[in-house]
Amino acid sequence: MGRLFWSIAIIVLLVPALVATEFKPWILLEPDNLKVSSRFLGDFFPPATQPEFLLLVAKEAWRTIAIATAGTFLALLLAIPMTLISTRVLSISSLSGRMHPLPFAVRQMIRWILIIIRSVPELIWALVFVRVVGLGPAAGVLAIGLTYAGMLGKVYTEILESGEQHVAGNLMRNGSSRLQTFFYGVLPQNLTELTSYTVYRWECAIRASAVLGFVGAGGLGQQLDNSMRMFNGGEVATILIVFMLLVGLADLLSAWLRKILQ
Amino acid sequence: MLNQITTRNDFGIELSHVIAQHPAATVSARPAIQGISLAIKPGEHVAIIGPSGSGKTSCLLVIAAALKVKSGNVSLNHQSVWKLSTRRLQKLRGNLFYAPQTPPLPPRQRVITALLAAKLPRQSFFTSLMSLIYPRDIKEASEALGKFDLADKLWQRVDRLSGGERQRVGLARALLAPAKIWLIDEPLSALDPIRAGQAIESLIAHAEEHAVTLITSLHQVDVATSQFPRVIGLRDGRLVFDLPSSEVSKELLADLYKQHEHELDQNTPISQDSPPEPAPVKIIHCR
Repeated sequence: MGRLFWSIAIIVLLVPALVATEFKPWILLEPDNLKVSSRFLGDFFPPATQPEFLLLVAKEAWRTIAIATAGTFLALLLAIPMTLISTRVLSISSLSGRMHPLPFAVRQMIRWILIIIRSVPELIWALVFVRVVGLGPAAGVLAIGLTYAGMLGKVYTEILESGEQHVAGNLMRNGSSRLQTFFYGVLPQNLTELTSYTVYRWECAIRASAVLGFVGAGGLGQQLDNSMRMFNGGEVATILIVFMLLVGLADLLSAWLRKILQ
Repeated sequence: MLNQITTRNDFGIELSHVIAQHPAATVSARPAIQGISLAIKPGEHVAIIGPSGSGKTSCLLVIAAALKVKSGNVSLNHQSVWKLSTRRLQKLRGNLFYAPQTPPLPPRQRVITALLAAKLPRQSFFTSLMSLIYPRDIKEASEALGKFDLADKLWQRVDRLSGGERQRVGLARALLAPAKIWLIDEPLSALDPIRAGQAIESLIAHAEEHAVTLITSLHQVDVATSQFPRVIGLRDGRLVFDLPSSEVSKELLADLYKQHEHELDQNTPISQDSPPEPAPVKIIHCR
């Protein structure tokens, strides 16, 4: 009965969503549109391979990695303390019954801060920071740092709270401090999951920095923007291929890290 | 104030009319502890026995200041535990060592680190962080492990150990804890009789040497009566008897385990070859 209800409910909710988003995939196949898109895609081949262009792409790719890495690092700096404060796993007062009102209020406040900073998309943050610090990678780093701090903080908290809490509870019950408990009881239980999520976020940051490039925050994205404006399909193809390689690299890194932490 | 505390630092335990309920239990459920009063002097060795569900674990948790009482009073070291601030209670907890039946060992941690975690209450944060990078007190940990015949497992990872080995590592932690009171829940549940005998003797010897109050809950009635000078019988969350072990008669035991006779029979003397209880199933999540 419940299942039937939910199936119908999902369909009822989905139809207005499709209407609202003007979801009409068949217009892709109309002759006029096909001609435009095939011309654009046709330009992709062959990808641009002029040495000076490749050098430029390599330089920008390095800058993209740098933006993503610095942004993720900044996000970690903000997210880790907020996770430590907001996670219920490290609450001493809730070891025996309900959490005290003051720590509860502090935890709620941190949660709201996390919601606020991640609900503003990184593109908007980038537009703001481009005005503050000027065009260039610094705006991208700040934008990624802020938004991702919100995401990392939320997901870290959830990972810790969904994990096994037996060890942490026991350590605190025997008189260990919250930070000691984190390093001896919580981290060893959750390290691989935290690491793989962080590397995934780094991968997302690489992609995000592409979008941020369009608003002038530097890196491969800015180059992609330039090539698109000049309708240079070959260059666009090369840059996209480099993106795929970067994402693949992040995937390999994540797999390798998980393996050594296992 | 400080002076007063140090002179009275003897860690006596007093429970008066304690009623306590497990936080996970429904409000309407019968409390696990229903009006227990008892006093345990510093350095005493006490075994708590009783059929399954009699409140042995809850009783230990109450003494460990882990389970908040609904009514009644728990006092440790002459301080009423639940009137202390969180900070002072946490400080007091540093003097208690509660070992749950399922040893709290993170699967991917090394045995040495899991052991040294017991020393945290008296360590500064910086020291404990350094110890995580390069373990301090390797010798002490190795000796503690040796008492349980596991010295060769010091650098192993916890998830490579068997259930019985894990339980013994959990007990070895007690020897490293800076605690005045040990509360050990079913220390022998995953051990074969020979290991069980060795384990309980190591615990008792260390407790005696360091004047630690030792309170354990036990399924093995014969171990309780032969190794502990004082035995407390619990049933349905109430105190049935609290006697020197020499006065615990067969009739009293039969009465305590009425309708749970199989639990009493199962635990024939340690020297006999009774099959070991199955190791507690520890779920290790793949992540």
